[in-house]
Amino acid sequence: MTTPTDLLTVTNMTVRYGPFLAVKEMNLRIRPGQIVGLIGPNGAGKSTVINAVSGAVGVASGKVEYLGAPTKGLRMDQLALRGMVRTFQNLEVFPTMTVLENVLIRVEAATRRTEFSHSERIEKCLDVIDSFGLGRYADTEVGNLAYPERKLLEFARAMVVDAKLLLLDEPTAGLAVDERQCVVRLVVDQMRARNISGIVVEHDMKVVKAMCDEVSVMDAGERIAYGTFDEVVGDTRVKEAYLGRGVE
Amino acid sequence: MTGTPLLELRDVYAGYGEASVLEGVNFTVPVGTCVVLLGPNGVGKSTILRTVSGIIKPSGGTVSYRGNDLRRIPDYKIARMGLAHVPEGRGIFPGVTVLENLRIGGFASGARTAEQSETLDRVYTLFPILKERADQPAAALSGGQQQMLAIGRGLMSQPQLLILDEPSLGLSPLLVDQVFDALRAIKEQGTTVLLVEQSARHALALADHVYVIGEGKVTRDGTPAEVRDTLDAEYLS
Amino acid sequence: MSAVIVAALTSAAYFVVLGLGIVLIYRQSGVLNFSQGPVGSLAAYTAYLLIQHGAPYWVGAAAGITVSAAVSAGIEILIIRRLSRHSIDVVGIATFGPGLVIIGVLGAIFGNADLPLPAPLGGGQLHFGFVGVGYSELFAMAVAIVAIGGVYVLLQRTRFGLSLRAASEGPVTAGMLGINVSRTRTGVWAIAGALGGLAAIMVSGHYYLEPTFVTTFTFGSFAAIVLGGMESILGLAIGSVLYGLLSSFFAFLVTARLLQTLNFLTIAVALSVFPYGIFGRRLEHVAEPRIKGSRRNQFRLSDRIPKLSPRVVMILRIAGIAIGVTGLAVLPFIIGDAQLYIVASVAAMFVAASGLNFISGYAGQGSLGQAGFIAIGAYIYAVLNMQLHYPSLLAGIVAIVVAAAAGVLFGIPAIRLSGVYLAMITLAFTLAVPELAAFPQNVTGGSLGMAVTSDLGGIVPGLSLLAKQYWLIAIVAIAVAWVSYRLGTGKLGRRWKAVRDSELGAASIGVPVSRTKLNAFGLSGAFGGLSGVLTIFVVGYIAPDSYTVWLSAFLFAAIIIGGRGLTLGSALGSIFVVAIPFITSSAAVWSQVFFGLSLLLVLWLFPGGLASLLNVFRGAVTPTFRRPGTAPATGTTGRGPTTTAAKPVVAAKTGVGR
Repeated sequence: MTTPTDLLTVTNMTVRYGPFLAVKEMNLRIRPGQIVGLIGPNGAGKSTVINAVSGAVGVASGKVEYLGAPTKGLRMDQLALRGMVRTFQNLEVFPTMTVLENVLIRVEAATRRTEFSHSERIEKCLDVIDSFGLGRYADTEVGNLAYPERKLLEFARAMVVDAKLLLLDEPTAGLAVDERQCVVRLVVDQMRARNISGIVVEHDMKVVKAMCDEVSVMDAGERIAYGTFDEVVGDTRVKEAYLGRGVE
Repeated sequence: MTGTPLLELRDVYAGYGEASVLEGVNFTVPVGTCVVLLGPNGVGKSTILRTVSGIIKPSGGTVSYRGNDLRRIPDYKIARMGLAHVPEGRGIFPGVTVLENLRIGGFASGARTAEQSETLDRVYTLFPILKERADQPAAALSGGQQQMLAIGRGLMSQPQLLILDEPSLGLSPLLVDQVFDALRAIKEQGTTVLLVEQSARHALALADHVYVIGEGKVTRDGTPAEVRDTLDAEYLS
Repeated sequence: MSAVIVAALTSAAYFVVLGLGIVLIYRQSGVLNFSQGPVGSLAAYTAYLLIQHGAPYWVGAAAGITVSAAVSAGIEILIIRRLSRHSIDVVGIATFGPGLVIIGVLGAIFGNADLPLPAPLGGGQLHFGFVGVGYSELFAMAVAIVAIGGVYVLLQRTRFGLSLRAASEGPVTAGMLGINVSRTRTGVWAIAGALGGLAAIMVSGHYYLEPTFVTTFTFGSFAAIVLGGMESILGLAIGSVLYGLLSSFFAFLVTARLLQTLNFLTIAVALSVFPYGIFGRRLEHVAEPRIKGSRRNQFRLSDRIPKLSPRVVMILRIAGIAIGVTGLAVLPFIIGDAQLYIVASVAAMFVAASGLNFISGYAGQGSLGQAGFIAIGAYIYAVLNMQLHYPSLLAGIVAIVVAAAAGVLFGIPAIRLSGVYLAMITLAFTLAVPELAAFPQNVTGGSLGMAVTSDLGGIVPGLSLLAKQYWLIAIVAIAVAWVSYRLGTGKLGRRWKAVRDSELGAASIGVPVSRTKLNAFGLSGAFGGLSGVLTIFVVGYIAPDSYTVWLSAFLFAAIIIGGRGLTLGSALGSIFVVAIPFITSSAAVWSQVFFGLSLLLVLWLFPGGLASLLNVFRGAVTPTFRRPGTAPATGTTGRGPTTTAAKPVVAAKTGVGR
């Protein structure tokens, strides 16, 4: 049931890849200000949920409602203009353009022409770029940046303006352990400061605990548990399916 | 058993482009044993396996297999030296039939089709479902069946060293049990096994020696019993 | 009637053998091999040479096929493999290089006249009742059946074929399993080369031997390949028979003078309904990790050029523009008509290249159709002006609008296509437009063309008409340069580049991908049409022969050489394209050789194009945004920090030391 204050409601969503059921009757709810974690073993369907919600793949049955309205038929760019932005496991930044230009494209798309002057837009870009510690790379071609900086750019680009719901697909993938802490801190700080809600798909439990108010656990396409991090970690079903394989 | 390990990595550095993933990895795999590499995602386990099978070349350190330095040897020649790699995500050829996938596995041993029939029978005994679906395109198989196909394909060249990257990926617990039963049988037949796994419980039951990988290096190693106690801390907060 | 069916089946046979080579290479290397036709021509000319010197036909043919197989394998080893670290569209463009070189060399040695190559079995005929079928036609059909059967058996029943299929689905995985993928690839190119040679010998024997004939014939057979789908051998056979019948009956019942138009329409309709052809399907691949070489070790010429400070760059740019504009203005007083003509041609070419740069440079959609839009603009203008007596300006404007509309119309199906299919449909477009224009002979002057007078009044007496035309073109070119620059460095240019770099990433931040691509198609059509109008002004004559596949290819090569996505790139490339024939003035054929070689050199050494080298104009590439009151960044091509340096940045921000 969708309550009027929900940001995103996923009801009995099923996603198919050909004959294969990647996600079965998934339910999920995000309230404003929440950051929800999505965890589970590889192949459980977590990225598929992100892809379906953001419009990258089609939904076979069930309902996805964002800001009270169904998302059926809306393209990814249309959803992005309504405040649903996402990042990718494999980084989809624009390597032939500078950090500033990458972020500027988002600002130009999300703000009406008459709303801000060009230099005001640049200001906004530089602000978020500074917030993520990328200030000195503002005019560097993204192709020349190291991997962690590119990751940070993708976050900055997604959050710069008009982001209400941020879908993060394995945000710390490929980062070294000490890099992860810093990145997580930056991302969470910015999300709280800009009042952005989120769904985070992650494998690193430390990251999940640091970022998420609520956690949903998936296995083989279904949600098998949800609650706070501690509740979920203590759940026997979760232990068997996921954590149970790592613990006696 | 002689003193030279079948596989030895010494101080190996490797990565993709500018990203450096491995920062000095050291371990050995003695003949006839099962060695398991454990660790959370993103820590470099797959990279280690790719360095061994020659898909990526290390930027520093040595990888020796049967006494040979693998750095200068191209991937297809490494495979012909008796090393079979079962990759992450199975890596089966989707448009090619099940039987043809298996035959491709046999290429590395240089055996003609007729000579392969005995090995093929052994694989079919291990995984009967593959015989049933031999003429179907591999894409039609379910995830678990594809995993079995990938392992079977790896066995077709009768390798001395079988390396597997997360064979339990995306499989239901029942299938994981089946796969590991097969791996136990393979090990008992004398094949050396190097295994990267997420499912620690199964891997630890099979292993003779365990290396825990973190931050691009080996952080700890020991027998399964020794390593088990500290695993909780590694996987949870 | 029966003759039509015989002609249909013969054409189908040729399509099959030609198509096999194209399909095999596409499945293996992922590119449309533009040198397939030219390499095949090598076989035909080799056979011709040997036969002229008394060798028996079969010896000549065998030698020819060996030559084309070897050359094709050589191309794979020397060129394709060297470019393996580049993106697939760069590799595709690269196949033009050897093609141009071969055609140039053939033209230089043998000339452009049609030479007689005998048909395989002579001109005799076999009679079935009252139906006569030529021996050579029967031979062609037999060859096609054997070829298709042979390739099928090779792929499905041999070990090599299995290696081939595995390597095309997952080269990394195949290598890991003991398959020597490099050798397999070379083998495929050799086989494709042999098939191409075989096809060329038959086709040239049937029609005539001329350096570009087989290539044009190959392009004209794309409809057969597209109908069947690039992924299916059986589909190729069926598609060839279908298109063979379609084209032969069309030629018989309607007209033989619109076959390229038929080719284009067939492709357009087929791809609209079946994006992969009737029997094609998306090729399935093994999900493989992206193993890229270390960027640090790549040879980057642009890094070795000293960087200038932004202030100096600014001064140089302003000075350069000032000198350029004044220079252009006073040129008619300095140089004679012949040279002025060259400059005017460069300017007109620049307009077309700028348009192409939007779609292929900024937006990254490889289009070989620009010549078609130029032709549209030129012919609409010519007809409106000469036949309907519209005033020049109005005719010009209408021509541009029509070309822009054509761009958008063309864009609607084209944006759903990518890579190979886009290249094929744009090539077919280039072939179709001039043919269609020449069809209404009374209106457009047919294949001979007609004169077009330009009515510019006497503004400055004492100067030739050419000078006035030149000024008009120069002013337009300067305006185009300014507009291109503004567009390219503005919001639309950024969107184009975003779409080129990552469609998914662009969509995820709100960029409407389809609409952005359509903008590029429409603008590229408009600028192409404008260029067509300008050229007619200068030349005073319009003929369909001016708008060839080679023009499209040259324009495409021009922006690659000059620099994709850079206004300066269009300029440099245009100078290159027009200047080369005059530098190598002995024969236009040497220009093709030089062009082909330059293309390869540029792709290998500086894939960003010449403009990316000229650091002076670097500011024109990535504008430097500066926060008021702070020092400017040290440069836009700074090599980023290594991973180890990255840690302090991230750690320092949050005060966490480790």
